[in-house]
Amino acid sequence: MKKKQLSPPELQRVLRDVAHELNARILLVAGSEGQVLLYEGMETPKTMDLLAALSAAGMSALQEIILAAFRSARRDADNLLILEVPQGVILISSQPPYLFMAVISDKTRLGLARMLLRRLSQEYDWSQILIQEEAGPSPFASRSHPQAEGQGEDLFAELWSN
Amino acid sequence: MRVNWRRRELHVKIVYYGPPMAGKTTNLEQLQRMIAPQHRSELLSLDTEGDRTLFFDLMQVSLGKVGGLAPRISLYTVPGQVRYQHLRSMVLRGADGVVFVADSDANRLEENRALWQQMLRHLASHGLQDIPIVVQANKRDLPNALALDELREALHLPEEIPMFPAQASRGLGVRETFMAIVRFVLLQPSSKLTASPSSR
Repeated sequence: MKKKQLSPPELQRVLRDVAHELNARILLVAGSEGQVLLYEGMETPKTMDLLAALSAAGMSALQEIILAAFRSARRDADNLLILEVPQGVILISSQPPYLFMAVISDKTRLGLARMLLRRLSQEYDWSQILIQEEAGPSPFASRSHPQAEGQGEDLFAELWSN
Repeated sequence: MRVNWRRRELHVKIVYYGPPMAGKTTNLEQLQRMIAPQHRSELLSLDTEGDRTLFFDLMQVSLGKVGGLAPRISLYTVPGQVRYQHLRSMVLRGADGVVFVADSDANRLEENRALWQQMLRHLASHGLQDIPIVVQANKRDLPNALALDELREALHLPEEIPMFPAQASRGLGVRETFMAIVRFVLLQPSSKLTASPSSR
């Protein structure tokens, strides 16, 4: 199935609609390695970054368990991790190259959540969030040797506390 | 590197790799101390009871805006223990640059060599064989520390890979290593942006 190529604002709207349908406190899309692409929820961007990284680690640990238990398992297969906690349910769905993470109420039907998360992966091209000139150089690239003294000093301006 | 247009951020992932107890986490702890709080996250560490890194450590650093985009550097460490090689490989996925933290202890030369070779294999398996690498020779204060040339020779390091002496426990060489890898990743003319998470 050809994935829908939506603009970032349209993808944000899709995510918002799904978050609303699931009554999700948090819904985020990340790359498989745990870098946030897009999110819905009340948390700060830094919290989302941590949640995405931890979700990727959790999913990686789950995949190690699967690989240890089933010789026929594939590392890149779709997997779903469900964590039931007193505050609700956390779903981490790995659908390479994406990872979806939702924090939902325990009243939300898990089957619905699972279906909607899978649909998010199957129907939409989330790489649109990262779209850019693929063949282009880094916007910071210079022609000088990168390690030349004094190069890129402005990058580190005010970075250090002492 | 990736641009998140919604957040106007340029995302860069740098991984500190190396044998156990070489000082990878110490590098991040020292950077946390050195970098002004408004420019970094807290250091997230997932440790075992023995204080060894289980999954990874993670800290994010925000650099000054350039070209309307704010570089956001995610610094990861990997667990050094042999048994965690799949996790090490996972953390390397999508890396834009690597700092290999070598232990200067002459008795740990073989471990350095094994982890270095393993890192190169993991990078190649992810199609990342050409990303920038910086080597940090840590624990230079040890009485039996190998000479930098000896370490370079033992790891068969090509000349274009810079090596920084360090004593991370005292913060020495930590800043220089970090700045070198960031410059290397962001400023090298061959740095490329990628469009898809699957492409790295």
